[in-house]
Amino acid sequence: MKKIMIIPGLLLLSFLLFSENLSLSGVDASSLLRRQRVDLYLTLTDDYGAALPQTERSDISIYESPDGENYREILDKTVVGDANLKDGIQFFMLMDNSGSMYYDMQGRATENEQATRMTQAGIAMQSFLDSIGDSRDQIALASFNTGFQLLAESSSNRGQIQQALGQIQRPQEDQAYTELYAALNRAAPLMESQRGGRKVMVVLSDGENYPFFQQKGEAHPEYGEKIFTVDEAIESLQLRGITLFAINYGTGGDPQLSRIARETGGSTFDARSSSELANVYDSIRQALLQELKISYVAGVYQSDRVWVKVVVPGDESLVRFYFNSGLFGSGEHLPLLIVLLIFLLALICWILLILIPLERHRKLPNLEMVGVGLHQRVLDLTKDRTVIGGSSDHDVTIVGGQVKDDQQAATIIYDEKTKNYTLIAQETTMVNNQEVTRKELKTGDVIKVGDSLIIFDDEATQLK
Amino acid sequence: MTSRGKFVLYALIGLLGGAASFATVDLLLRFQESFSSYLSFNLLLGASFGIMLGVFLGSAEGIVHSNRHKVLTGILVGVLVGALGGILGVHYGQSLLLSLLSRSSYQDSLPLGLSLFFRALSWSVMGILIGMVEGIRARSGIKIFYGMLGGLFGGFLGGILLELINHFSRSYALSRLLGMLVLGSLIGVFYAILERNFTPGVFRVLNGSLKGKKLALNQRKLTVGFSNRNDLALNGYNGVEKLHSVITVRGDQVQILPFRNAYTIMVNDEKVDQAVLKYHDVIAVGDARFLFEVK
Repeated sequence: MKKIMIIPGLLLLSFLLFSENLSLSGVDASSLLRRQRVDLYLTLTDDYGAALPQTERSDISIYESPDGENYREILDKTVVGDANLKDGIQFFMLMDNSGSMYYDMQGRATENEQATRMTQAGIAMQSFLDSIGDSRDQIALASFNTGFQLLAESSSNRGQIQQALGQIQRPQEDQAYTELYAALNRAAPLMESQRGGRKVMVVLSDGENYPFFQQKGEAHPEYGEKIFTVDEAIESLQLRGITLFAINYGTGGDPQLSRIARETGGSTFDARSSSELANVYDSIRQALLQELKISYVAGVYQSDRVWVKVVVPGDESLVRFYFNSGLFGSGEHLPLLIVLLIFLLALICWILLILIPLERHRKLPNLEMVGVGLHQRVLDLTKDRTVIGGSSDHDVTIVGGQVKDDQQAATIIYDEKTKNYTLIAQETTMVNNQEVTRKELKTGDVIKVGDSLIIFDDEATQLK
Repeated sequence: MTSRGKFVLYALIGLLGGAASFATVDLLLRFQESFSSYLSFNLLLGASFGIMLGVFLGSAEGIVHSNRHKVLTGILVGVLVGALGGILGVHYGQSLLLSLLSRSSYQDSLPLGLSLFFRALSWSVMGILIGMVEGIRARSGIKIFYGMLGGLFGGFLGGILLELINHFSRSYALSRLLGMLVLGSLIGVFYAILERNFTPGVFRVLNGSLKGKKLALNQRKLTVGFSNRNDLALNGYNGVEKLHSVITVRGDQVQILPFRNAYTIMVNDEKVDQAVLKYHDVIAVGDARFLFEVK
């Protein structure tokens, strides 16, 4: 781990030396669907860690491939050196507020408030806020110990952050644990709602992850028996495109923090005083401002992923990919003939459904039973007398309701001379909801016997 | 037609719509790489896909009620609303899919569960927007809602099928077809569920050329007359005016009244100025007769 130099310029140099000559911190394809553009964020330095001059940036070549093997060069691209300055950086400052933050810088207990790590950290933060000035950067502030406390939501109001710093209170004994990984997990989702631009979390801690449940043997008041892991913290940050910069403050630090920082595209620093800490804050921001944003017009591919290769002078290259899955899948197709047949078949069936009448008209006068059992039944009237009753011997059998077994409820008689059907009721019978004893029927009359409905249809006779 | 018959018919029309839209999508996908941008391609893809599904689903009620005019207006509205719904559905569905994928921290291969969920979610968004077509044609809030529900479930299940079959067969060819068949048919099924379960009743035509047809009272206001513009178009019946009567539905209360005082309506063989209907009432409009019955 590198040591922080006091002179800001050298400090920046050491940071950049730690990084590779070419590092690709992000591939942003969120504008692909609307503007056909993909943005790449990369840091490009010479062998001494200094940012390459503007002229050499034009030598950066971009290639795309739908299969990771056959690449084509992208010619339509723009390289922007100050994108993070223009768009502003979203900082989330996460400060350790465990018991040890109230020791002095050498890790000794002290009664002198000004000598505590927390006070010194506050001074460094103040210095950082002053250095940001009225840039477009936004800052959120949170502290953690056993618990997690959001002190200030993301804002460009520097005074709000200063005020929030003053709210940090020395923790009681049970609050003095260092739930570092839990805090990273709690903080990451809070950056999700922030507007676009580079999202950076800076965590300052003077000790290792020291979970309440593991150390005290009692369930954590919020997390219970859950112990947050390094992998969870990495996943939570990666999921939201957040880069973590970690600062080991004073004499301590968590050995896993550098891994989390590295896997999220960030880096780790040591700081032993407020001035060193202020320099670290400043150098992180300066490094971010040196990032290049390359925007290019992407190709249109039928593949689930598209690989992007960045090649810089000296033939150093990096390959990343972005997801390109089509909503309907991609790649394979059924044979064209089959696809056309499916289309024609669907079209023909649909037209037939439109043209063919779906109801069949019967050729004989009939009675249609509604609501008798589960199925509707139709009885063609082929006899001069049709008896409706409760017996299975009757032409129409009414089951249940007020019709008793063997009871004859009504008779429909056909008059050959008049060609009419007449209903004669032996028991209470309704036709069109009117009680009747005798009624000449016409098509569409609804006979109600018991609980059953019978629709009379003589349309066939009338048509004849 | 029985409720079951309607159920099958709606599902079949949705299924045919799914098949036709699959073929359209499949043909367009063959030319995807000729487009200069995903935006232009997705606009065309969404519009074509939406039009196909919209035309079929928009015609469903007209087919069920044997009303050619309703079929025609359903097709026209299906083209317009389907195109819009398709464009929005494909755009937002695609955006959601890529957004979910890019936010996932899995760089090598996505776990099956997650890819199923992502695909299902993005198809649901697309299905919701497409499913609204018939409800907009009928200007019915509850139909829009049910169409959206059908699109949600159809999209979710269709998306899962697409991803699942592709996972095991390593081919989108068949999975795309099955996914879209499920999407279309489930939207149709939900239209049928709406008709069957969420209407206070149906009008069964008792005589004439439309004998046996059932008009589900699934809108706040329905019209009856000989004009094809009516919800129940009574062609070929004597004594029926162009717009003869209006049926209003308020919860479970169904009321019928003539469009003009001079027009005659009979309920249970008696002339009425207006009537709140009860089940098994027999209504006559001109020569046409209906039975108001439980759905």
